[in-house]
Amino acid sequence: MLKIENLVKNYGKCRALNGLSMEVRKGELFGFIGPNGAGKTTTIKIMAGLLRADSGHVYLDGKDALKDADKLKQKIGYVPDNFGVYDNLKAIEYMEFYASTYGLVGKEVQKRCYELMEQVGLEGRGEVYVDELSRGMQQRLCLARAMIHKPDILILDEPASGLDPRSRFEMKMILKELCRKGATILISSHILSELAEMCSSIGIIKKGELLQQGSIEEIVSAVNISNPILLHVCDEQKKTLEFLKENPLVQTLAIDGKEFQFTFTGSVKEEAELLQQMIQQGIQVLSFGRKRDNLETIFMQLTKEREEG
Amino acid sequence: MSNPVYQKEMKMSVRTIRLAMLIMVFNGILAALSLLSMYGAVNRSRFFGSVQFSSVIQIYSTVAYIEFAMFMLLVPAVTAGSISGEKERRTLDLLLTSRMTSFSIVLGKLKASLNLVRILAISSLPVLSLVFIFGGIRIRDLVGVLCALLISGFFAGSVGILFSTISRKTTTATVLSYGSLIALIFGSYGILGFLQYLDSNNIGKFTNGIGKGIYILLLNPAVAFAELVYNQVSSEGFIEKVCSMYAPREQGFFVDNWIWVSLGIQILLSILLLFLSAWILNPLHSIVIRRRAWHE
Repeated sequence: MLKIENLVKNYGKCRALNGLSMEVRKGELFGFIGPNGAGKTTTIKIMAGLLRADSGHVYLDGKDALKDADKLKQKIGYVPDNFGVYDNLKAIEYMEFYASTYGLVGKEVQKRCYELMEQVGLEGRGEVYVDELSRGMQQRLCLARAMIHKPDILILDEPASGLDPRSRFEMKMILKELCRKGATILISSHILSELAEMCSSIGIIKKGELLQQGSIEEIVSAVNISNPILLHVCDEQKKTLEFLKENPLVQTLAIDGKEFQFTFTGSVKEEAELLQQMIQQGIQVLSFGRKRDNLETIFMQLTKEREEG
Repeated sequence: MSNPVYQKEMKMSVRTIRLAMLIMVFNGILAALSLLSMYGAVNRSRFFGSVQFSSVIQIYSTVAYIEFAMFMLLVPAVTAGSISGEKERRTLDLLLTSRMTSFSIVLGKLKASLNLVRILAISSLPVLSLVFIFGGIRIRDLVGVLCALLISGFFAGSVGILFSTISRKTTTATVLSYGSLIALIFGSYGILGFLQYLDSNNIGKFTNGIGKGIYILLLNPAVAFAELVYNQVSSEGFIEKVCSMYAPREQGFFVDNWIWVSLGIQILLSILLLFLSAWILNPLHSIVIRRRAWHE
């Protein structure tokens, strides 16, 4: 659906994007995360046709979208992080105005505007002036606006920023529903817990480079492979200790009663073999597994590693 | 299909009291000054026993000059906020990601601003027509003044749009627009003065006063307007007077057709400025607003 290849963008001597490559598949709700200054907004602006890349490609359905800005605009629906509204326009007029900027006019378009407003939970608000709507409602109206021309992909830059918890929840539900109906959405956000709940796939970016990409499970297991193994045995602490000490792949070891925590440098297969051997040795294992991290911890770990590296 | 930006601007402007207030204040000032001039003319007629034709004509020229000055003050103020206002409101990115070209956005903004110019020009016709009470001015002359006002408004508007595109803030755009128009209107005279200084001190190689240097005034919308009104109310043209001061032997096509050439140049420059604004506004071209993009 959307493929970014070796995107490079410099601002003077500062390199904002350093050969960024990533892919968003059709029907995905893709979470785009990274610390401040990582290059998220720059990437989004390039995709939205608001910025020229120094080099690299953005492919939409296999076609280089950067070569035809007009086609790119037709295929992308963009919701910026900070956006304003016109004071003297009613919600429906706001929608109709943006429809007309895509060359869409007439009764059918008006019908579509109302449908989209209903889709984002703004039914019955067509005659309300936009500046009288709450921030959350304005954000939803902006989302409806971005869908006016039936784009192939929706790009949302920090859509939850400045919203109260209820508005954030409502926005999350709307995005999930849109995705369920087949929309492809790329969303950049700092609220990682929410992204983890709704995104089918995420990409972590730092200093203009992609650190990790994939489903949350994929990323979690990829990162957790370096996490220590937690072992909980029923008894035989001494025997377990001896057994672990003998294994060359076991590095650091910490014991807390019947709980063992150790780093294991072997592969997943060797990890499974270790468990098998323990059981064969007669050690009664209550639980065995890598320490699981949530998206937030992974994000912190990945971005910290890169900083230290 | 009509320009969406123009339609939106029109819809928004009629919903505020600003437009009505502007028309009232503009025509109020114009009417007050005209009636004052008229009062003066009538008073003088009491002294002379008859209405002086020159006094009546003076009402017309005074009103026309005031109207021109007010246009030059109003139009940049209106257009300078057109694009920068969208930036301040943070709605520009949404427009730029739509299928509208940057040129049609600029054009929509200018059309909306010029609509105000048109409304003001037409609404002031009754005041300008005061002169018909006594006669001496033809309807053709009035139409000429109206056209010149519209063209100068178009020019001043394009200058305002250019600075509005370059600047992030409306205040900066307004200051720059006024600054450049003042520089053009008064600065061109300053250049003439400087050239004359060089001539009088035999520094330059001028053999005919300041010679072709006089043509710098072709860029000056005030001179073209003054020439038009002078031609209507007196036997001697304004540019003839200027020529006699600065370049006594300068004559020919440009001097004879000063108004048309100057208005033509203003139209050409306006079109150029609009294209330049559209080029700058296009985010894939812009070098001016590039810095703001990296704000995350």
